[in-house]
Amino acid sequence: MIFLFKGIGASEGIAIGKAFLYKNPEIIIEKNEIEDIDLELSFFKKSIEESKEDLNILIDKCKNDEQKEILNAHLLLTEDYEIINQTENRIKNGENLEYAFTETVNGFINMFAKIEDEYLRARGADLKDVYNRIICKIKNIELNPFENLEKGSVIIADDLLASDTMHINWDYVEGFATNLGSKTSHTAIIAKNFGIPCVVGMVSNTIKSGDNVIIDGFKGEVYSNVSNDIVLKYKEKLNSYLLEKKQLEEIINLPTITKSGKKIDLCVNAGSVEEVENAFKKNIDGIGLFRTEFLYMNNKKFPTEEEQFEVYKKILELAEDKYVVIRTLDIGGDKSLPYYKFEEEENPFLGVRGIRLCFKLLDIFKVQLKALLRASVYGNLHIMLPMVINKEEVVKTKEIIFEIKEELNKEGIKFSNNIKLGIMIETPASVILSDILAKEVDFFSIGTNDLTQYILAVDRGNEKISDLYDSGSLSVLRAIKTVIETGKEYGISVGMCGELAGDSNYTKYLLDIGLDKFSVSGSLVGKVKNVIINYE
Amino acid sequence: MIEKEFVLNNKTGLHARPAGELSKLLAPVADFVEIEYKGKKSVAKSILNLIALGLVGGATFKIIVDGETEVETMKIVEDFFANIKD
Repeated sequence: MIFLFKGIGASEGIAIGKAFLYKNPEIIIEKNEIEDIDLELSFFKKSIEESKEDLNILIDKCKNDEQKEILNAHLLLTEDYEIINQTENRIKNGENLEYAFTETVNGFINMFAKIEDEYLRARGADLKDVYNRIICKIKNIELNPFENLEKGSVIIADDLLASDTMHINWDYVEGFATNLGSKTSHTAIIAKNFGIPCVVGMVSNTIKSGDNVIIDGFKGEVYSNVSNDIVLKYKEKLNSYLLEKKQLEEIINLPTITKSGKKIDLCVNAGSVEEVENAFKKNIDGIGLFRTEFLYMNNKKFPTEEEQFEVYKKILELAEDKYVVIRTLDIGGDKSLPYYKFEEEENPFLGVRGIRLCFKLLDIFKVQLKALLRASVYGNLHIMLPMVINKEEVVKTKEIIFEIKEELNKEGIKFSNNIKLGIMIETPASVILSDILAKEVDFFSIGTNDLTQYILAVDRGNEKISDLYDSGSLSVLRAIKTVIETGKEYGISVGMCGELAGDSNYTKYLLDIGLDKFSVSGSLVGKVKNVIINYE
Repeated sequence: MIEKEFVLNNKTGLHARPAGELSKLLAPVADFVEIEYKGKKSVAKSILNLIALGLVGGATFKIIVDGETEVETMKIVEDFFANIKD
C-alpha cells in the first residue's frame, strides 16, 4: 500500500530513492546537586572552547559560502555573552551545568518562538543547533549521524540542523523531507542551493529506513512504499522535468526572434532592485514594468526624492541601454501604508487609486516625478501612469512634468530629453479612448489583470465568481486587439505587462494579433520565449 | 548615561549576521550597553538578545550606553548603524 504525506514544497524537483531515517540524538537532562562550583564553571568553559574549535575546523573545511556563513553565525552564538553570563550565574546559585545551560538556552528558544517575522523565527533553529553541539560536549556524546549514508538516499528527518547537514556527502543525497521546518529553514535553503528536491513540514510520517520513497518538491508531496510502476511513472516525470529545465536554460540566453525573423521584445516585470538584477542575468530586452510600490510600502514615511533617485538610478544603470518602464505609484484603498491613513471607501477598486491618488497627494507625486527625471540621465527611462481614464489626466501629468523640468533647469540639474511617457491600459475607458490617448503618449502597456476585472465587472478577489474571471474572455481579447490596432494606426508602441503576457497558452494568439512587446515575471521568461522562437 | 534613537536602515532587519557584527564590536567595551525596542530592553552585547528582539527593516529603536567611555561607545554604535547592509 502506498502512503502519501503532504507538506510544503521547499525546493523544486522530483527525487526517487531509498529512505535514510535520521533521528536527532536523545539527550536526557538531569538536575543534580553540585559540590564544586568552580569545577562546574571550568568544565563549562572547556566545553565552549572545544565546541568553538570544532566549528573552526568545520569552517576551514567548508567550501560553500552559504554554509560558511551559517557556521560563522554559530561561532558567535557559541560565545554569546548572555548565554554564558546567565549559565554561569545559575551555576553560581547551585545548579549543575547541564541543567543550568539547558534552562538558559530554553529561555531564549521560547523567546524566538514568539517572534512574528518568519525568517527570524526560523533562526531559533540555529540556537538549537549550537545548543546540541555544546550539550553533546558536556554530556560527552559523539556525533556522526550520516556515517552510513549510501548512494541514492532520500533523507527523512524530524528536522535537520545546519550542523547535521555539514556531515552529509551530497553526492549520495537525492532528496530531503522533514516533519518540521519552513520554507526559510536551513534545510530548505541548502536544498535549494544544491538543487535537491525538498519537502518540509510533513504533518507526520510512517516512513521506515530503506523504504522506496518519492519526493515531489513541486507539490510538496512524499510517497512511501511505492510500487515499481509508480516509480517508473515518476521517473518519466523526472526525466521530462530535467529535459524541460535544461531546454529552458538554453533558451533563456537566446535572442527573442520568431522563425520568420521578426524581433519581439521580451521584458521582465520587477518590483525590487534584486529582481532587476536577476532579470538581466537572462537575455531580455528590458524591464517592461517596474512597480514602485515597495518604496512606499516598506517605509516608515513617504520615500524622499533622494531615496527614490538612488533606486531609479541603480535600475537604469543595471539595464544599460535597454529600456526600463517605471510605473508611478499605484496604490489604493485596498492596501495600507503604515504612515498614511486612506479614507475608508465603499468600493476601493473603483475609488482613489493609481493616478487619482497621485493627483490627490500631488506633493508626493511631484517628489516621485522629480526623482525619475533626475535619474533619467543614467539610462533609457519610460514613465508609465496607472489607471488612466481620460485625456485630461495625461495632459495634467504632462503639465506637472513640464513644471518640474523648469525647476530642474533653474537648479542646474540635468535630465534626459528622451524620456518616453506612456499609460497602462487597464480601464475600459482607456480602451474606448485609445485613439485619443494615442495622440498624447509615446506608448501603451496593457495591464490585463485590472482590465479583465473592469471589463467583466468581476472582482478578482471574490471566490464565488472566480470562474468568471478570465483574461481569455472574448470581450477582453477584443479589447486587447483594439488597442494593438490603434497603436499601429497612430504609430505608438503597445506592450503587455499583465499576467496574460506570461501565460504561454496565449503567446501564439497574442503574436497572431500583432503584439510585439511582452513583459512577464522573471520565472516565465523561458516558457514564453520558447513559444516565440518557434513561432513561424 | 546617554541614549539615542535609531532607525534600522536596511531591508532584512537585524538578523544573525549584522547582530553578530554588532555584538562583536561591543564585546570588548567595558560600558553597559542596552537596546530598547517596542518597550523591551536587552543587553546589546548578546547576539541572541539582538536577534530575539526581532528588529525588522525600518524599525525605530533606542540604544542606551552607561559607563566611562559611553561617548566613544555610542560613536561605535552610530557608525555601525550608519553603514548597515542587508
